[in-house]
Parts: sequence; C-alpha cells; structure tokens
Amino acid sequence: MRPYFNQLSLREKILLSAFIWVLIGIFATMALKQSGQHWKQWQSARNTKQVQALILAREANYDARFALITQRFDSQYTLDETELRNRLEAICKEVGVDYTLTSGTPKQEGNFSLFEVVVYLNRVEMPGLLAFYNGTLESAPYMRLDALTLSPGGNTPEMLSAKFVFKSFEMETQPTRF
Amino acid sequence: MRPSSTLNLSNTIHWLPGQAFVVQVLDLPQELADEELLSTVELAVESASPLPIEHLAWGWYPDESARQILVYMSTRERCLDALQEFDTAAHVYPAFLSLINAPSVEATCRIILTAVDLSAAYFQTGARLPDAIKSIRHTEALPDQFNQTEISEAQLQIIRASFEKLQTAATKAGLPKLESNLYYLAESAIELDHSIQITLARIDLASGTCETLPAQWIRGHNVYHADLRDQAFLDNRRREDRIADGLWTALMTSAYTAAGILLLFLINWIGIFIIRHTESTIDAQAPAVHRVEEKESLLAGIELFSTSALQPFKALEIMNAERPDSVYFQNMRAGAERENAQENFFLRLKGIASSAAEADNFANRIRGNALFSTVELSDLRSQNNRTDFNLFVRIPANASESIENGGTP
Repeated sequence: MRPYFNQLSLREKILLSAFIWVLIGIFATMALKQSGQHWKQWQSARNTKQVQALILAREANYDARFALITQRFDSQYTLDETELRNRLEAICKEVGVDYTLTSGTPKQEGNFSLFEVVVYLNRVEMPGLLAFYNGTLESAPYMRLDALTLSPGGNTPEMLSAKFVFKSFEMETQPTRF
Repeated sequence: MRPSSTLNLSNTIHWLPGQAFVVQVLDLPQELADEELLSTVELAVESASPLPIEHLAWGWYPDESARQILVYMSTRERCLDALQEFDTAAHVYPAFLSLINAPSVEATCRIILTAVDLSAAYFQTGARLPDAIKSIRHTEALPDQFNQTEISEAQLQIIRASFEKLQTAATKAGLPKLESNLYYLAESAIELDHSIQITLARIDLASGTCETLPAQWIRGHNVYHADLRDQAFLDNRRREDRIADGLWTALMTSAYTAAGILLLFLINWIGIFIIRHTESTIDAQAPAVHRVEEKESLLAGIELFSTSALQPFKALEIMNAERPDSVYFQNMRAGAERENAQENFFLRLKGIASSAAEADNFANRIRGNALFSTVELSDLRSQNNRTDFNLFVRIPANASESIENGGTP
C-alpha cells in the first residue's frame, strides 16, 4: 500500500487523507451515538431485570406470609362481598342510622379475595357512630376499617355525615395454591 | 520553472552518465559546524566553476568518518540534455555515486557502466570517496536495461571497446591502470524511509556474465545532499516528504481508527442481541412479576386485618371519650400512610371548642394515650367564644389489636 501511496502527488495524498478522516469522523460519530443509545437501553433493561429479579425473589416470602395468614385465620369466618354487605347492613339497621352501601372492585390472588364496601351514614351523632363501631367490633379482625371520613351533616355541630371504607377477605383453605 | 509548492514528481531515480561531471574531494576542518557545511560546499562549487552557481547542477556526498566530502558538478544545460525528466524525477544522481560503498582495502578503480558511457572512479587506500572520475562515451549507445545474467556478444564488444578507450585515456591522464571491476546499476529504488536502495551487478568482461551484488543504501540527509537539483527545490522536496510521512502516519492511524470503529459496530451489533435477549426475558417475566406485585398488594391489605382491623374506629372512640362536652368534631378523615414499609393510620380532625385553652387541654389528654405516636394541634382560630382547631394524630399499625394466633369474631 505504501508504494501506491508514494505514487500519489502531495495534493492527492492530502485529499485522500482528508476524505478518509471525514469518513472516519462520520462513522465514528454514528458508532458512538449508537453505542450511547445501546448503553442507555442496556442499563435500563438491566435495571428492569434486576428489579424483576428482586420482585420475583420475594415471592417465596409472600407465599410463606400467605400460608401464615391461612394458619392465623379461620376460613369459616372470612367474609365475601355479599356477607360483608349483609353484616354492615345488619349493624346499620340495629343501630338505626340512615345509610347507603356501595361496593368496590374485588381483588383476587390464589386462594385469597379482598372485598371493599363503602358505608355512608347520614346525619348521625357521635353516640350513633360509636354504636356502629361496637357493632363492627364483633366481626373484627375479619372485617377491617380502611378509611373514615366525618363531615358536618346537619344544622347542629353534633350532627355528622360519615363515610367508612370497610374491607374483608375470603380465604379458601383447599387447595392452597397461589 | 519548478513549482515551489507542490512537486509533481515520479518515483523514478535517474542516474546521469559520469562524463558530464567534475568531481572534487574536500577535506573538512574539524571545527566546521554542520550548519556551515552547505555554505562551504557552495563556496567550493563557486570557486571550482567559471559559471555562476545557478547554472550548475551539483551535489555532494559526505564521508563523515574521514571528514571529507565528494563534490560533483555539471552544467544544468548538460544535465537537461542528458535527462528531460530532470525536474520531475524523484532523484537525480550521477551514476558513479552508486560505486561509493565500503572503504577500499587498497587503492582501486571501480567502473560503472551506463547506457552511454563508462566511468572509472579511483579510490585511494581506505577511502570511501573517489578522488578522480574518468569517463568515456560508448561508440554506440547500449539499451537502458541489460539482461541480468548474460550480456549479448554485440553489447560486449561495445563495452570492451569503451573499456580500452577508457584505459588509454586514463593512461594519458596519468591515472593508474584500470582493473576489471566493472559494474552496472541493476536496480535502484526508493525505500519507505526515503533511503535509496542500490543493487549493482558485476560484469565479467571475458565471459559476458553478470553477478548481482548485495544491495547498498544512500540514507538520511545524503539522499537530498547527493541530488543534483538546487537547494530550494530539494528543501521543498524534503518538506513534502516529511508531510507525506505525516500523511502516511495519519493514514495508518486512520486504518487503526477504522478498525476500532468496525470493532465498535461489532460490539453494538452484539449489544443489540444482548439487549433484545434481555428485553425478551423481561417480557417473559412480566406476567410473573405482575402476579407477585398483585400478591404483594393483596398481602399488604390482608395482613392489616391481623394487625389493625379497626384502629381508626378505636382512635375515634378514644378521642370521643376524652372530648369535653363543649368540643365537637366537625370534620374528620382517617386513612393509612406507608412509612419505612410500615402501615400507619392517621386521623385529621377539624373541631370546635369554646376556647383555645380547652382545645389545647383536649390535645394534651389525647397525647397521654399510648395508642397515638403523634398528636399535633394546629390552626387555632378564636372568634365569638368559639375556637376552631385542627388535630392530627398518627397511630402505628402495630400499636394494638394484634391478632397473633387466629381470631374469632
């Protein structure tokens, strides 16, 4: 190659070198840009994969905790959505308050289902609220109060409106599969 | 006129017949600096020639060990006659320069054969440089290239005739008898480092056979000093050679850089496969991950049943028990918040008291209950025997109501 290069005039040598370096510049820019993009993609993919691995590694722990819950709770007392609604409705009637019930979207995983019922109590005083609480106590811990909101509900400060978000779960003991 | 910026030079080395040249060996003073060498040679050329130096084609070759230089000169006109490519050749040297090699063990005479003449170079004992050159023109010109192994009989006759004429002329000039050290320049080439490779072949006049000798070189600055073109031209040539060397280095660097870029493209290509493989693994794992996340969410919800089933209610009950008759709860919101992977419950309460002191007293009573980790009284506003206040309480999830081993409603 050197003999061929020597045959060229200086002008041709300069032009050849410049042309080659321009090409190298273009391709180097392309390659580096591509490398940068791939590096970012690779880092993102690697991080996602690591996060996935961490999440998947927890599964055994979750299964063990589900198994523990299965041991702690008696499946005959767990409440499905209808049972929860009925229980709350019964308490409301027993306490004698004006109420409305709505249901949330149930969640299910393996043998467990989680239900949500929202109870609205209208124009209720604090003793009524506490009576309602005492009624729910009987179903604890199979019924859980997730959120509570009180707001003025009448002409007097004693009158309140309340919103309760209750949750219950249903547990099937056989077969135990998640 | 020679171009000064860009030389359009061939790669051919031209060797001019010796008959056109006058030679002179100069002894250099020990104290002469290298920078002064050129001016010394120019002075010698000017003093040896009746013509101005601009009309001369001259060059020089040093023997650094002996502190001698061989200066040779001819008129540019004679050189141009002998060689039309004088300005475009890569190098132009006198043919007898190819005879300069190892020092002679004894006084000797070496003869170089060119297509137009025979030149005898006389060397003193131990000298590298000839102290005299004698040339004779052939009666008939020989072809430029000889057969490397054998010379034809017709050519031999021409060479023998020239040899005898040269012998006669040398004797007349008082030079020693010629020896049959007859050579011709078999090959000359420019090496990559710009040195000149010279390959001589020795001719046996009796048999007409040729024997190629090991190559010799003209190296370094001598490549330019020995050239017959003028100094400015040669300086330009040298500068362009340096630039060409730099360009060659740049070209070689570009080749390595190109190899690096190719490698980078290859790595990128492999990288794409790795990324795609990783992404496909992620996609394949996504349903399982989603399932585990769902499981986590559900588990968090269900575990709260065993740790804090009705805590907001319980908190409300406690707060109601501590409430003085003149304090009312006007607005309340209870919920859960996650802190350090632990679920805490909170109550935000808006109330009315008869005075700020009563509200503060109420908050202090609640603070005394171990169920609450935080009790914050804020936004106290008093007007017309009525004080509005905000109360925030936090209840840790593990504060109470923990069901350790099953539960029966």
